[in-house]
Amino acid sequence: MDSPPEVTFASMLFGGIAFMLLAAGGLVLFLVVYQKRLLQQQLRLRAAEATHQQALLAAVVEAQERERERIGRDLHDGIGSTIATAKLLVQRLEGPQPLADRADLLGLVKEIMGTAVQDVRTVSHSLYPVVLARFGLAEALQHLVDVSNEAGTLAVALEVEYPRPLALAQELALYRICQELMHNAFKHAAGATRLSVQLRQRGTLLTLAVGDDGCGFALPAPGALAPAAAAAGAGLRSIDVRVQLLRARLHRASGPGQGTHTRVELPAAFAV
Amino acid sequence: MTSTALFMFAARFMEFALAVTFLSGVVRFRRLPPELRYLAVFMGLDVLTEISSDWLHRHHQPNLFLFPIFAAMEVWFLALVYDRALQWPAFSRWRPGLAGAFVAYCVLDGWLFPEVARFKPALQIVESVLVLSLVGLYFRKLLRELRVTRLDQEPMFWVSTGIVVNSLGSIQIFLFSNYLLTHYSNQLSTAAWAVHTLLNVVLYACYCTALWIRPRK
Repeated sequence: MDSPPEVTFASMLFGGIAFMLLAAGGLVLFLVVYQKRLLQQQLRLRAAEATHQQALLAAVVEAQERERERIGRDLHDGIGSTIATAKLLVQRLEGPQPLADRADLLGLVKEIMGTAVQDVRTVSHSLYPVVLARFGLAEALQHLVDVSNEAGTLAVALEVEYPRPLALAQELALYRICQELMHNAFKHAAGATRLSVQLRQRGTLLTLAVGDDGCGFALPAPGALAPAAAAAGAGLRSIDVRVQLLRARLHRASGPGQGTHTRVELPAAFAV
Repeated sequence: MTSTALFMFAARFMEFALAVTFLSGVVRFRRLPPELRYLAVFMGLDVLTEISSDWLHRHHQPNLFLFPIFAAMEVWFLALVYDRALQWPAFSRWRPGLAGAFVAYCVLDGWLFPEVARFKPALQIVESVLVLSLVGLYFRKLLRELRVTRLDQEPMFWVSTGIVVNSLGSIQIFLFSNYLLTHYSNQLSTAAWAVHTLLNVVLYACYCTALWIRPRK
């Protein structure tokens, strides 16, 4: 390696080799660092998902307990006391001494038993909407709206455009979501004069929309719970669970004095 | 230290590294996953090639004809190694064709253009590009699937690292191998091949690590 051109070439060659080795080392180092970063991101994502799943599970359990408590209260306060009254009246009728108002008492017992039957039907319907299983979502919503209108606290309007029925499990989830949204409106939408329920199936999208013109509430920032939402937390969370199970999208719009509008969108791809 | 002395030192060091790697493969063969078993078998063939080359050299016979045979074996076995490591049906479909085409190229090149005193840079470059492509596919899988939590405990990562360092470092030596022979002194050519031999030591060290560690997913 005496001649200057050879020295120049040698330095270029070995310099080139050194550069390529540095590039190889850089590539491996980049891979190690980048892979580690991606792994950490994935771990964080999984932790967040686990937390979310845990929150959903807690919501499901809470909703179940709430429902059992409500059924227990309905049975105790409604049907239980009605039947107890009927029993007392029947005991009076069985007594040895003749009663002048026997016919009236018998009529009263019949009326009370009729109320008890009606109460049992109401509880039974809230447990499982028979209309839904027999006639489908459109009829079940109509029945729900009719019952709500009979109660008379808030006028409910229903619009249905539902040509291609979904599977029963999906219909039941949508029905429960609608039931919960209507329940929330009756409970929280102070000053509301109307409540509208819409079920529309257009193209590849099924939309269930429930809206009122009540007081509304300030929507919480993502990840935070506003006071109103916190009060009705279990109900809203149970809606979230059902929406997630349906793999649908949930849109909420509300503001003080602007009413509350909720829309559930179910793409046809997830409709069974 | 002269370039010849450096080359001799590097060559002995490489033979030692190859022997240790081969023995690691033999000792751990039963506990190795399929992809590393292919690597261990390839190490055995590498030892045979090295012994043949050394024997021919000692008997003053040309041994450059061994290179296309070794290159064909290397690509074929590394393709098998990466086929098992990648586990992609599309790659499994294409592998026999691609590796087979390179083997055919090596056979034809060795048969139609036999060389006793010159290298075959084109063949060496094609081989480097092919094995670097295999490594690229593996790195892509590593980043996309994120199944490996510790890369230093992943044998295929060490195999790939060795190949990247060896192939990228040697590519210019292959490229200028004949140019060095015809235009410059023997000393410079020997120095360049000494560097290549040291890069082989790095490659065998990585292979040895891969054969010795226990993979952790």
